[in-house]
Amino acid sequence: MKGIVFTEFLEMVEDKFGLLTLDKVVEENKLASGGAYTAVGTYDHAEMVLLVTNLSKEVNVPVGDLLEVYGKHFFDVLLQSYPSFFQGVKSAFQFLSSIENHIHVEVLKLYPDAELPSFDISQVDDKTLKMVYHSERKLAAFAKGLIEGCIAYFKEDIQVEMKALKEDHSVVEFRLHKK
Amino acid sequence: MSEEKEALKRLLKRERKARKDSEKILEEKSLELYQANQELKALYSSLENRYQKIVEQANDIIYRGNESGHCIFVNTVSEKILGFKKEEILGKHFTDLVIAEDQEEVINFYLKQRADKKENTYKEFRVHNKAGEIVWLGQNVSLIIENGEILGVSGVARDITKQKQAEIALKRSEEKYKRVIANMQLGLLEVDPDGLVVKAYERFCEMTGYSEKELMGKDPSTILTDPLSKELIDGKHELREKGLSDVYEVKCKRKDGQTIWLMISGAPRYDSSGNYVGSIGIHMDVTEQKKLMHQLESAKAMAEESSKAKEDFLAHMSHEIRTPLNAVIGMTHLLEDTEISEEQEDYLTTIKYSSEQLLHMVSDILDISKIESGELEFHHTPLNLKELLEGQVASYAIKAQKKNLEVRLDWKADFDQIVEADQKYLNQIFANLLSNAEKFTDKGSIVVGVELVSENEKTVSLAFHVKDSGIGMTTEQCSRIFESFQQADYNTSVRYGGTGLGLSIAKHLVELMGGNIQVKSELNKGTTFTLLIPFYKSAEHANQLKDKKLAHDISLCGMSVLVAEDNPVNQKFIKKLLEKFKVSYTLAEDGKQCLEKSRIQKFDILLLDINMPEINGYEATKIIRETKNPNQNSPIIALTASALLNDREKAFSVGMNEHLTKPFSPVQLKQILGKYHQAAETLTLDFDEEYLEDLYQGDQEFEIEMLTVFLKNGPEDFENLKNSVKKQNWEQAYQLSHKMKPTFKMVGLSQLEDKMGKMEWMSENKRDELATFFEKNKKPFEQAFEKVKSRLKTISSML
Repeated sequence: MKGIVFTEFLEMVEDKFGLLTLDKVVEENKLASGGAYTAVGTYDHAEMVLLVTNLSKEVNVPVGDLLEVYGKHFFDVLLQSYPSFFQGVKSAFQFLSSIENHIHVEVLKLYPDAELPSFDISQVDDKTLKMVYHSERKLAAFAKGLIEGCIAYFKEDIQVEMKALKEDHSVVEFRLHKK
Repeated sequence: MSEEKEALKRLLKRERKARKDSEKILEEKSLELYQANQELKALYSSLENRYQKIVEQANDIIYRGNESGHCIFVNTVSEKILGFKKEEILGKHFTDLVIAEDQEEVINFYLKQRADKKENTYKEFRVHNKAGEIVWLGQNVSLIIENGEILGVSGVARDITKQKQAEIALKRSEEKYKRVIANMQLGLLEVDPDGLVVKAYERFCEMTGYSEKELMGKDPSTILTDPLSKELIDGKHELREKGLSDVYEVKCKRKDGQTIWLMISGAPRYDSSGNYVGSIGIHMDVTEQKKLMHQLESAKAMAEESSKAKEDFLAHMSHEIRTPLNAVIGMTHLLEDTEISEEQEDYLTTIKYSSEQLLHMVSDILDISKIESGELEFHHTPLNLKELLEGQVASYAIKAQKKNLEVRLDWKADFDQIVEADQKYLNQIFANLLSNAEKFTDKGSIVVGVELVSENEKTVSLAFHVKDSGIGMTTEQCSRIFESFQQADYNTSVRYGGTGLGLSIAKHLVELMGGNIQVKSELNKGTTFTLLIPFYKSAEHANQLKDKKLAHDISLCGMSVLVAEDNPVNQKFIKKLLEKFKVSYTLAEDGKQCLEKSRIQKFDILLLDINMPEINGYEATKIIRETKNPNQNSPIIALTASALLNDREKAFSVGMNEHLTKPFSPVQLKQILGKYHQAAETLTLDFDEEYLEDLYQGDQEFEIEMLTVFLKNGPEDFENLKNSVKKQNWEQAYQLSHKMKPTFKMVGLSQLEDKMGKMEWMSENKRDELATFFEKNKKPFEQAFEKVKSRLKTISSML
């Protein structure tokens, strides 16, 4: 997993829960990386799972909620770091439809070793977009946060339904309803 | 607080580690980038080497110029082509090398390329090499344009000196030949594929009177020729396009209006790459030749006309001479039959001899003119050669008796068959040779020898020798004797007379028969003419021929003939002959009378003079053949004084059957009459419906009455006639035949009226032959009675 996901996560933990919580979350377990992350590095995604689980215990918030919040935060990070992704894009549906064929293609140019989830995206009707998430990382909640972040950015009133198509949450369906 | 301090310390430691980690990653990345860069550099340089090599190994100068056109790169080929080293060229403008004469043009050309921003151009020009010699370059220049701005040029220049030199040499040699042609007074003109003038050479302009300026870009055929010739010339363009050349003549008009004839040798033109670019014409003024040719043609026409005039004159003359001669000879024959004194008989013999000689000469002259104009025609009949020669020899033997000369036939040929030959001309050949021999031989003999040369199923070749022991000739004289109007020498004609045509005619005739004639002679010893003549064998045998001749002699009597002749002397001659042959005749004094008589009575044969007043023989024949009359199908014989082929053809074309040239001999007339008399006897028995229609005007009751009367008396009268002929009761036979004659016409059987008429005539004039004639002809009369019976039946049943 790309280093930026770790560095941004730890920054958010420090911002939202303070230095001591961050220290606990990082120092709780013996991590291979020793908790020292750089955005240009690449790390085992299991460390991320461990960090989130630790935070969940510490602040008593479910892992899913934490990942969703982090997703929303990470969308803002992306927005600021890569404004070119958003040039000429007018709506959430338009942006989300282009993830697989545009955003991920651009990401792979910068980080050829990035392990990205894949999405099957289809527009059911004018007001409904279906996105099916596939990833062995099983971080659908993180993805949901990113989607919510996107909707918020375009200031649209869209409801997101999430339904696991596989029990282990490696395949999850998102249904986006425009109101 | 210390807890926070500890946490911060740990955070700091983590951040330091993260920094070091990231620095390490960056170092690795930068190393990676460096190596990738190195690899790329190596790749680029190997590519560059490769291209450099290509550039250096090229045969053409390859260079780059900067924005202003100054050289910033050039390959080493330049040294090879121009002698300048790379360094000497770099920084120079390429136009610096262009020779002075080409410079302005070249600079303007490339300025225009830049102004038009034309990406690629090609131009040929001359430059100086380092040694100062001229080198031809063919240069491709491409502009390097980026965002509409010219950044520089790239050029490829090829040394084309050799091609250019070859081109120039070719052009020079072309010019050289064109100059040569111009010096030969031949006018050259070059046109493009559309036929428009691209170059007119001086001599052509002189010929036509137009300047090159006036001709340029124009269609010369429109300017110089009439529409007819234009069509001809347009056709020539198509030929040129196909790569074909030819020569023709055209009538042209000069600028000053004068007409000239040009002989044009046209050929297609091609450029150095072999593309068709029009045609070139070499013009020769043949006006003078044309004039000459025209003069020759009219001279030829005049010559032909005068030859025709000569022919006409001969024919006319022969007619004019023969007509009175005919009368003289005819009258002589008749005079001989009258009672005359011995003295008168002597005079008569002289008249006869002289007129025959004269006729002979006229015939010779006419013959030679016929031979020369190719109008002579052979009429082949079966004939016995041996008999013919025996006759000839016998007649000359009598003549030669006075000189005590022996004339004999020495027939050594083992051949006695009948051959197909023209009797008249074969006789003429031998008569000419024998009379010639007789004329020049005073003692000794004249021998006609005959030998068989070759024989096959169809043909036979015989050699005839006419050998005399006369005065002979020198070799020089021998060589001339076959020429027209030539005799051995002038003295000969003075001493022996003659026209000198006989041998010439004989030679021509022999040759026309497919044979040849040769002469061998020794002065004072004699002359031998040797003839070799091929013949076709006849299908008839000697005996058959004899029977035929006999039959002719018998069957003439009882014929009815219409003679149309205006000349009283000729009338008299023919009348006497016909009486001699015991042939009944009717005389018509002119064409009009001839038509009248031919409408009334049916004749076995009609003898028509061609030159008659009012209606001539041709016109009369036409009318007889084209209108209903009893003689519509009767044989008609033309009597003319002219033997020309044209007259014969004309006679046949109007429907005449035969042609008899006056003066004719009694035998000739007899032969013709005999021929048609036999034909007449085979006539079929038919009612003349048209005559009956005229006679009875459709009144069938009247016809029935007439037929009944005919049948009541006819058979009985005929039976009585038969008896009277048997009993030689001529008086009764005459009365009966006289009575019966018109009745046959009344029932529409005019053929039998003729026959009965003959019997009537015979019962008075030819009683000894009447019985034979009656026996021979009784059958049609008996048939006639049966025919009339059935006709009566048919008509009665219709009423």
